[in-house]
Amino acid sequence: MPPRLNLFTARAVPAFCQPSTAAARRSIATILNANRPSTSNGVKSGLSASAQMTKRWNSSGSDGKDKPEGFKGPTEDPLPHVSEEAAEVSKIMDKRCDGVASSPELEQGTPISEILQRDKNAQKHAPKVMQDQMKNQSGKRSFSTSARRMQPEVEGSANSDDASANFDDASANFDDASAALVADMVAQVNQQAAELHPGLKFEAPSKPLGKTDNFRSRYDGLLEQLTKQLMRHGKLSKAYKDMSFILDHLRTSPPPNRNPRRPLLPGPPNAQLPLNPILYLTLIIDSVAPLVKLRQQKGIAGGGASVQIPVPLALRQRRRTAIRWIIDASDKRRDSNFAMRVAQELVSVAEGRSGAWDRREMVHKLGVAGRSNLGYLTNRR
Amino acid sequence: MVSSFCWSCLTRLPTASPRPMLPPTLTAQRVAAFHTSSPLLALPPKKKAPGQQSGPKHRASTTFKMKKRKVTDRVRPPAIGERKALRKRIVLSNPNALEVADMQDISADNMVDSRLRGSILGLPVPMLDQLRAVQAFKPKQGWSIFRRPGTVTRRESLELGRLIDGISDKPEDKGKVVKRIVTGARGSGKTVHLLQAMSMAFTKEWVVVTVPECQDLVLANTSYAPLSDENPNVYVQNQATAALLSRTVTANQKVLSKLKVSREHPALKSPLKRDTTLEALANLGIQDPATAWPIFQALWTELTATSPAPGFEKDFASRPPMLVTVDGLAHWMKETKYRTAKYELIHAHDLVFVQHFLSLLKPGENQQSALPNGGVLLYATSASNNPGVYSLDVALKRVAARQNRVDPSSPDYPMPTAFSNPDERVLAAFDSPKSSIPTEGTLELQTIAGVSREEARGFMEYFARSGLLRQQVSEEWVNEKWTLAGGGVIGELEKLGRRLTVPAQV
Amino acid sequence: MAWQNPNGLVQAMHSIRQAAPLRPVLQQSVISRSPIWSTSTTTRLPKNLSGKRTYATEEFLTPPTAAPPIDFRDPRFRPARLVPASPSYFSGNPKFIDHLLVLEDILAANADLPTVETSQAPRMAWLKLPQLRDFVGEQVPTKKYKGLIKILQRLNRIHPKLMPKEVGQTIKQFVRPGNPYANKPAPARVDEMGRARGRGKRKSSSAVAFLVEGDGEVRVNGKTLVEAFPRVHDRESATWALRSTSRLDKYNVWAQVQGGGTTGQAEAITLAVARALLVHEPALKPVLRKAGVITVDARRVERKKPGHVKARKMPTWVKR
Repeated sequence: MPPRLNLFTARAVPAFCQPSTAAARRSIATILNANRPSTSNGVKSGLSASAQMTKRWNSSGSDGKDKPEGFKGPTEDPLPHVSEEAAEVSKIMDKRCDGVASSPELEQGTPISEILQRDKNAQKHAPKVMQDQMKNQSGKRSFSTSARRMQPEVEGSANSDDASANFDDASANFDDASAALVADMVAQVNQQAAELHPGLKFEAPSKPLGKTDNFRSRYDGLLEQLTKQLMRHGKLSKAYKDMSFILDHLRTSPPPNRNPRRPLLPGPPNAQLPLNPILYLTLIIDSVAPLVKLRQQKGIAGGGASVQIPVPLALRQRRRTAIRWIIDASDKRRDSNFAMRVAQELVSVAEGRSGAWDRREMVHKLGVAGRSNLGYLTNRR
Repeated sequence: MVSSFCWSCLTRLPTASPRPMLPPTLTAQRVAAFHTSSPLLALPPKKKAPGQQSGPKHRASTTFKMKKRKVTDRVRPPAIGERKALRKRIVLSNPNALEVADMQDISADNMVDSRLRGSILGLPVPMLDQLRAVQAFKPKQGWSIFRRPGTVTRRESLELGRLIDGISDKPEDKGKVVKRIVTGARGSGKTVHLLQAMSMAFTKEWVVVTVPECQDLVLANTSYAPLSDENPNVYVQNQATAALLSRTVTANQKVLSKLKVSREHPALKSPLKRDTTLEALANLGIQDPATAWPIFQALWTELTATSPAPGFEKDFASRPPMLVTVDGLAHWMKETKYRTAKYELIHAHDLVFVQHFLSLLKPGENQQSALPNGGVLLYATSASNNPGVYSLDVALKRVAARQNRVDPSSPDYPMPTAFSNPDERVLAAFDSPKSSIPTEGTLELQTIAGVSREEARGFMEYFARSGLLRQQVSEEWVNEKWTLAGGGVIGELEKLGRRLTVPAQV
Repeated sequence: MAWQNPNGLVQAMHSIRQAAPLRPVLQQSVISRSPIWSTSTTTRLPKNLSGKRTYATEEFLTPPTAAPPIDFRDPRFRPARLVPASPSYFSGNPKFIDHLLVLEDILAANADLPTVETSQAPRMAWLKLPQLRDFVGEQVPTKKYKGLIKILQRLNRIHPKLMPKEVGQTIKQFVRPGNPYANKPAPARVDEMGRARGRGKRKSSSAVAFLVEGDGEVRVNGKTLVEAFPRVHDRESATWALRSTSRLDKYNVWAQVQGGGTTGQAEAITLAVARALLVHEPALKPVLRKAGVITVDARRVERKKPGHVKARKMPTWVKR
């Protein structure tokens, strides 16, 4: 395929004068490192070179010589520029393949040759005209965003050379499948247009953002809750430090000997628990968390006597209660380090020895006993 | 233990008679407290008058409550030294972590193998005792979460490995002395660099002499005394010297037990036997700290001896190269907490111990290099517990300038600013000219920066393979951590690796 | 839909409209001549006797046929009492209700026109509550004001190309003079050195960040990230915009930050970097929004007040 934009050849030359793009990209780092003593020799040259380079990267369509008046920002869409040129060139050359294939190229502004470079299968079944074009192509990508990275471009051209060798044997049977494949290509062009959004310089972030990708909720919910409850006197960063100490303790302490009377929730076997401290911690806290709390209600039974009514708790409330119990129980320990006390208490909860279990059993017993009092609530309604 | 009273005696005590010794006081209760009939004899409690109720008065606040004084039973304070031991405790193994299957141990072969760059080399288990003896490990280096200790093979460590390998094995490098001051940002791996040097030196059977913490010598924690009546302005620290001897002996027992003394040592009070091993020599100083300094000097002379004195040829074996490491150099560059008899502060350079180690930076005297049998001097500064010493900064800049071939007379040569009143002794300590002996190198400055991205990746994969990291270690992820670690500062990478996060749930 | 809200008065008015088609003659005579259609509602006086009484209870008693014309010169046909011009005369805010009814009618007439997304609609600076009170000359309650704004916004969402002229004119009454959203700042651009600049604030800190394409070097006040922020959390915060878009190894950051503590400085840098990144790549806005980094946290420390111990804490109560 002949280069549809002749100005790109002019553009590629200064870029190749540099040893490699990687080095050029680092040259900004030299600006940043200018205050380091080690780079003090080459600062001046690095600065000037990098200034030129940055200009070059960020000029969108062409060299500065062609358009001295308007520096075109990298965020500006270079695509219509390309497609206009492409339209002109194709008009001049009068080398259009069937109307279907060339139209998406103009509309979307993405050369099909790129798709063909990526997709071997499509290469095989490409229309004859395009194959001819590909055979004698120069290997330059006529696309402005690619000028930033030279490396993949060179690789891509090498690949296409290999692929063009394979064309000849497969070129006989392209007629039947070509219609379907052109449709396929159109779909791909659309997809690629979606990928190369004009407002992007690099490929769009692939993963959809999850809950912990948010700046404000970057930690696990339970960890966050426990950390905030470990906080004393508003010292959050100390609480974070304590939290990481606790997790490290869970990770290094031997696997718990489980008490069959006070089992943890079902999870991985004992030996695997310390290697997943967050899961370990979650199991510990969720296991000891009570299901109900007791509400003292006065006057509901008449006569001013207070009645204990069990109230179900939500997950967060259950955890909060459990954490409070564990911290309370840890205060009885002798160790002077708060984080160490809590960490040891957590392990003892896992082994069924902690006082938190007693409190849980007590609350559940009273809760079961107080079931009859629930009638007061329903009657009142 | 059996009581000297018998039960029968106790039962026959005259309980029936009212106590004859003390006259009953009027205020005292008339009956014994444990007597059951006392409540019966007690007067009925007075009913309170209706006006004198103790409860809150009308419209008074009912919420006020006197705080109960908490009765806290005083727990016994921890035993002396217990808390410090806990603070300084070094845990080198986490049995929960997974064993990394194909981790190699550091050995003579692979410490120069540049293919291993970025991988983790384990420290051999037998060597751990030696390394513990020289206090190569520090408590907060994160050894405690891995199955067994290992270090990253980075560019600097490979270069050091080649150096140590050359000095001990290559004939052209025989007797070569390399003197380096290791600096770098906090957490950049200076101390671990020293540790790697020690482990390499141990594999090559060098003699390793270390000062693991310079601050211990200037904090006024160990005893000190004037060296002698002749020079009362120089001070000796006997306990610290004995500790140094003990470290050296424990770590280098295998080497020292093979070497015999090679000359008379007139400075010692009792003459030595001819076949005294160097280990036995050092043990004399450990047993009697009062003689520790002369013994250390004798040991040093023995270790740096190149040939035996006449009459001692029979048992002489050539001395191995030496590795001398000092960590936290800046503490030695200012006044100590010690006081003279006039209650003035003693400068660190007035301590013989410090003098000895700083003199090694200078070119050796008597046509001999500082370490005539060859070896490496590695003196590291510290960044986390560091006194700011301006003169040291200037001195280190000068070392770097000389290394870059800047002539001391040129205007580019770093000078202290005017009126900064620099410490001339500090400047002089690092002002070592080129040695006349070809094997002795000049003082160099080595700055340790962050690791490269490939090395960072190797380190992170080590976390993952130890089962401590549950993320997929991808290029992008490593790059992110590399940036967050300030450009691959390895101590920060370690913190990031052990940091537990939950992968995002979409 | 404003006419579905539980405002009783509005419902009553609505019911008038509902019943109106039943009485075509009345509708013509009452509503067309009603002052709510006139543009200068404020000048009308309730003395105007031309309209008929239009109370809901009365409507159903009125015969469907038109009454003979009334000769007002005949004293017998003089109304016994004054009839208000506006049907909302006896409500609390008659003028306001008139406006509301106009808007509701317009909306009902144009309800089936195609609309655009809220973000696509032209941004309008509606009259604020005090301004509206000035404009109407009545104490409009907040809740009713909100209802009015809702209708205005709904009308504004009509596709701009299909927007009828009368709707546009009616809406324009409620726009603040000199639309503040009309003059937009020039979009930020990457400068000739390839740098994008962003500013951010949080707590008492303010930061400026310059973003260039690079390989992941970050400098804060000339120091490395580790020196500037010893806490990992803060370092993560400062680079969160790049992290969440997986561009941490594609840009270099040079940030200047001053004021406040470490958390404030780190999160000021977050905002600054995110804004600078938007200059480079505007299409990342939805991602950054979801990552929470371009949301400005405008909370500041509340000032201390006289008579209080702190911002809100009162001194303890002493009996004497």
